[in-house]
Amino acid sequence: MKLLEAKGINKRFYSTCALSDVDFDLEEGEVLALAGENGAGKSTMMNVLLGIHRPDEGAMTLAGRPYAPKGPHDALQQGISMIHQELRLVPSMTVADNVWIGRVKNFSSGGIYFPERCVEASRKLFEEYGIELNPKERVANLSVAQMQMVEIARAVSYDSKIVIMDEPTSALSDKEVEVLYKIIRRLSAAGKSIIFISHKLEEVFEIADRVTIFRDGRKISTQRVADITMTDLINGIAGREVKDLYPKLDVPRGEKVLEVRGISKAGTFSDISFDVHAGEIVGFCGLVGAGRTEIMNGIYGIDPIDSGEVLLEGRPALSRTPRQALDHGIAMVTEDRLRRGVIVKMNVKLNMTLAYFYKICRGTFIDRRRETRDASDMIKTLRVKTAGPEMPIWSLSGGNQQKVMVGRALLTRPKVLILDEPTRGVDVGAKSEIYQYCNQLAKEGMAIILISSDLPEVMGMSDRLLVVREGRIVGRHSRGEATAEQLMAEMFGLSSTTQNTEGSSK
Amino acid sequence: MNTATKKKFSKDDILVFFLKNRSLLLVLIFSILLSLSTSTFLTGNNLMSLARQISANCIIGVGYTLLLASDSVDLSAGYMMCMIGIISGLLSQIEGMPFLAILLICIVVGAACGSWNAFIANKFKLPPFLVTLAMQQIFKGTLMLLSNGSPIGNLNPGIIFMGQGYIGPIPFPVILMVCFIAVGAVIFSRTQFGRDVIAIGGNPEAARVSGIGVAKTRILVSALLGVTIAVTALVSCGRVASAQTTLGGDTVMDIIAAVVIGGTPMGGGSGTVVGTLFGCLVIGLISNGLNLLRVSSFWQMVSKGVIILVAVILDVYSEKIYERMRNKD
Repeated sequence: MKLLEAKGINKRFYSTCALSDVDFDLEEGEVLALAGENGAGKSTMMNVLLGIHRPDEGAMTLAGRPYAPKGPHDALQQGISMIHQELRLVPSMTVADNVWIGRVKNFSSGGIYFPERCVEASRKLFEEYGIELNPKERVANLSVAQMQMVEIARAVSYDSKIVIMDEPTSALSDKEVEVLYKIIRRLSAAGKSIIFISHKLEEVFEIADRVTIFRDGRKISTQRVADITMTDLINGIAGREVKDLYPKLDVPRGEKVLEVRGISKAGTFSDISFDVHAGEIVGFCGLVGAGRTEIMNGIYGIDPIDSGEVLLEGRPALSRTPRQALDHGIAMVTEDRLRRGVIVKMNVKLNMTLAYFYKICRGTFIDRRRETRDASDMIKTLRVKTAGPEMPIWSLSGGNQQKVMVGRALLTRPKVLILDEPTRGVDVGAKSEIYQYCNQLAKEGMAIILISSDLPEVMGMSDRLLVVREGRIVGRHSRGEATAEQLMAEMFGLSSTTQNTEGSSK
Repeated sequence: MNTATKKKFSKDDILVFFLKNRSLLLVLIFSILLSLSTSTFLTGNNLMSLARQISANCIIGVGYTLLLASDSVDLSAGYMMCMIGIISGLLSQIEGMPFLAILLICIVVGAACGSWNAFIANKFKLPPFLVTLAMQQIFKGTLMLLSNGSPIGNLNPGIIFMGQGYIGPIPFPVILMVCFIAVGAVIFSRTQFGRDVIAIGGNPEAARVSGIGVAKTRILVSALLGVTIAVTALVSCGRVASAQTTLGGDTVMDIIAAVVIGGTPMGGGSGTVVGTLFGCLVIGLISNGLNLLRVSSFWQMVSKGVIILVAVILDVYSEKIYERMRNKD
């Protein structure tokens, strides 16, 4: 039976068409995956379902009755809840308070709130779904993955007919993804429907019953997952044949550019040594929280290291602030795009030129003509989808915002480029574009460090792979010399003797 | 403007222009209302005295625009101004003290007090609201200690000139105001420092990771505010030819209102110095108009508050209309 049906939905923003003539349906108890590039219309469609956007044309029915939500709250009351891609938690409150936020009434008698009832309810909920969290812990003390689990618990707690999950796994480690899968299967067995949005296509095959593909604001197709292959899916999303997802070029290895010697930071990582040559892409793999990001933050001066040496082209290049790192020629695209990346109130151009404009000041004045020219060139080079450099950054999709962040780093003309999860929440097409551009940069002699939790991706793109576990480098491999299973074993610390397959460079 | 270019503008364009420059619209509305309801508003004398009235707030407003744009706030500005006024009064009593030395000392004191506020907030990771709340008391106490609680007369002629002087037909404070607005606008929109300020107000973490020295910039912003406060202190004392101990009590609230009405949001991340000029004009027009209409001073306070409230509500409302119109095309 169709639980939700939408017919002929149209939605325009400014002069761009976000959704055109979309028919959409969801059956009871099914897991429906939405696939598509950033900006393909998935998020807009979900916002229409939640009543955040009113469609310009078209109508929806929920369980046979007309459905026109006035906003997220209304949608929630009619039985649709959502796990947002961006965390929406109150850090200063406890896990339990966050899960049941806005429903203090349920745990009150005569206007007095009894927090212990709320904690009890959370405990029961967590037990039922196998979530390992302490309801009394303050959210501020949690890791990003744990916060995501709080979001998930909250969405489930409404006992909604439909749960929308927007990139729920992007911050989760494999173990928590398994917990999430169990939650999804339970919900589906109880007759609830799930809309699952993910850029990790393996997950679509793992968990979904059907998949709906969006492209350029249109619905392309809806098919049973059992009936299609990965290639079908990728081609459907991209609208063209994506031959090779990781188009790694072989680039001759140049001079040693970055040399890191035994850097440590108390409590996060210790004795990290590696080097990166010109034209080389060095990949870092490891679990979420293994210390990869912290090492890079140390090198880039966000959280300065305690001891050790960093050399750039043989000269000391220890950075205590990001500015020093930039002056040395090290640039970084940070992992947390919302917190450390985009400045929402600034437009595309200003966001892009933020890190480099001090280099183009004539005296104290900004060379505005050059700034505009450089930004426009970079928008073209990276193929950022935007109506113009003066557009607000929030009008761009996540993948295109990420391209702007890459552009911000590249405009500083770095010798070493650190990319921390550059493709998180980025669609297949943009991913491939970002990687092709990385190859181009490597060919031009840049030294690149790549952190990614997507194993096939980091294996496909890197000349060398370093595995980080618990703040130490536990494995070093040359390209193609380690299997995914081997790497996983090292990441989880399963093998007693860590292998070292890195050949000649040692 | 000739008719050929005029035709290019539709009604919508005019609406968008005024929605974007809301404070200018308020200035026009108030001016039209006042010129209709009084015969004295549109006289050269009154307009010049209006310009002189707003000049003091406007000079501080330039510094305050930068401060608000960087997502900070300073409650101590009023008493800091008063204290610097008293200091200028004491320095005037010293035999043979040249005016330039007094000016320089006052500016240095202002810059130092401002930097101190920002330094403490940065060093101990305190909200500027609390730091300046405490500093306000310290400044107030210090100025009472320095002055023994009574105003100081017999000011240096240079200070008097800053408050009462004319260059040609134009009062000197007005010239100062125009200079500060011009320099402030250029700093704000054309220099790296101005850009850093907006970036920090928008997202300090992103700014830091992009190589901007957040602490340094914040301290510099507060120091500049201190400089504008010092200059204003001399102008205000000069105008009444004495260093009062009650100067600047309401200043902070008037200035925040003016800056926000001018188009710089409380949360930072954007701002406009020229808008602040219009914001100050709105506040000035309210006082000026109510005076001309012979409203009693107690009612003036009440109506001023009401008008500011309405102006701010209109501001938010027109922002929404503006967004909706942009969304349409």
